[in-house]
Amino acid sequence: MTPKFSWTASAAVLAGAALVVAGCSSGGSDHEQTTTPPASTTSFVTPTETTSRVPATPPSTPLTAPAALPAEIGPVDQASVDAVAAAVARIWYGWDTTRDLTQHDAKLRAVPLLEPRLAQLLRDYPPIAGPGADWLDLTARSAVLTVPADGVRPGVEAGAPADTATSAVRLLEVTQKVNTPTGPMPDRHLVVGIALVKVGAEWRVSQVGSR
Amino acid sequence: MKSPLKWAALALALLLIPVLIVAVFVDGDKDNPSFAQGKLATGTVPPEYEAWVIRAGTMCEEISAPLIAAQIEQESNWNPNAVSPAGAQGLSQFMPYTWPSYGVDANGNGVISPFDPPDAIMAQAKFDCTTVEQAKKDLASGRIKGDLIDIVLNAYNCGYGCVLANGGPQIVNGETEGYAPGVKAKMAKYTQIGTGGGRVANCSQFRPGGGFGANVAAAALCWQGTPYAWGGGNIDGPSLGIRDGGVADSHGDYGKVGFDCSGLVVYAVGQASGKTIQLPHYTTSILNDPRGREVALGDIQPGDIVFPGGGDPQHVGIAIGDGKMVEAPQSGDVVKISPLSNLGSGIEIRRFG
Repeated sequence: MTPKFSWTASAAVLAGAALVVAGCSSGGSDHEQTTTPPASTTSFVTPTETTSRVPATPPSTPLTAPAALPAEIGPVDQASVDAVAAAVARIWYGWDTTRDLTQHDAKLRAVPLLEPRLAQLLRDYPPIAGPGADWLDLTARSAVLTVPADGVRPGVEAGAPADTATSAVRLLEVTQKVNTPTGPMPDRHLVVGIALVKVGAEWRVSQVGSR
Repeated sequence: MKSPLKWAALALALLLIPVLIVAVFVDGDKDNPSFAQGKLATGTVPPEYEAWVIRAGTMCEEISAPLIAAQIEQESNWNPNAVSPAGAQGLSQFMPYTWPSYGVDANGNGVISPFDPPDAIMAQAKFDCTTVEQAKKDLASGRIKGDLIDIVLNAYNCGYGCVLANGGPQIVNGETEGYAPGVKAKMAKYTQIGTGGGRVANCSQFRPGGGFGANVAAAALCWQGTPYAWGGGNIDGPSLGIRDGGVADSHGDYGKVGFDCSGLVVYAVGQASGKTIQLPHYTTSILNDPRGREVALGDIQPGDIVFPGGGDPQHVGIAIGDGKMVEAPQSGDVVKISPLSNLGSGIEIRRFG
């Protein structure tokens, strides 16, 4: 008897409470969202095969960086603003997703042409989250993205600060060629701003920004 | 007699309990007035995740459901089984060594996993909101400076130590500085129309839902006097220019937010369109964007986008009528009104509304 009464009363109280709270929540609100409430039985699948290529441990910082530029870039006239800017653009946006873990690996390859502060930043602070959906898609396709020498062209937009003896900026149009084991994908086009500073007698890149 | 009453009450309760749950979740999806974030637009996220995304947007005032959704798209494009080559896992792409600090059994199924979407979504919100609390303290003490949401997003990408080392979200490693704008740009499609504010709302000439061209002009005119910043400006407003260590820095480009010529156009057209038109940040690309209609000089109206002639423009401005335009001219200058004749003869005109 008692249990039956309690059960009925509880249900009624619960229903009433639901009415009251739902009524309060709609007052003064323009919400019209409807959602499925979270279920405690949500199922999920843990991938049985991981595409991770490294142990699940924090990277040891500072990261190591190569002392020499990639061979495919060839010799770079480091007294030339344009040559240094173009070389960094080619390296920075040259991604081998079959070898690189993230875009960060490509940036580290440019270290010999980077201002010491930027180089240190890249070595000290690798990404702590994933490289993003685009990179995951490229990785699934085993894509290799290269920027050929003629894939870097001067941008045309004016207004940038003028060069000085110790600083310069360059706006570049960059084309990434995308190749996969099943054939090429459409080229990618970027507009990239690059800032450079003179370090001794040579130019070094202090900032790279894709628009 | 008791039995029908019991079953009626029970049925009513069962009917309304989901309403209660949804109402609590939805009502917690706050307006976030100080950050101009809106509510989640229904049907924009996979249905199995919608309630969790809304719930994640209630964890703290500063992190909204559209922000959570945009981050997930950026990280995994809603793939719950995603694993990056470096080992980042699940919808929210947590690294295995970061996950234990934020992982929660959100759905009470006895498992805490980055591959369990509810767990991942709520862990992401926990990370963001934890960062908000720490960043508020560091902003107050002057340890860091900058936009709170940019700090949160950049910390997600680069780590909070990275933010501290740079004194705020002004991180220039070639990736992190693009992360926050990338996520913010994705927020528009997840935001219920009319619920997202924006700084332009403070502009008296701008009329939400008003004439497109008039609003393009008004949005840009609101920022008169704002510094030119090379590379600065996006759909949300002025942003940090690229540092050059020399002339631009001496003009104040470095360390200040502002617009360059195409950045101002990206902002103005984006705002007037309710962020449905996100133009590329480059003059030539704007000129050739298929969403723009060619307009003859005799038909020019306020809000039309104007370029020097020749087909490969070095500059871009916004017509405001009476033979004038609003522009972000060059390093060292500010957003200002100038004669349209400064563009020379044979100007090109595009209309996006």
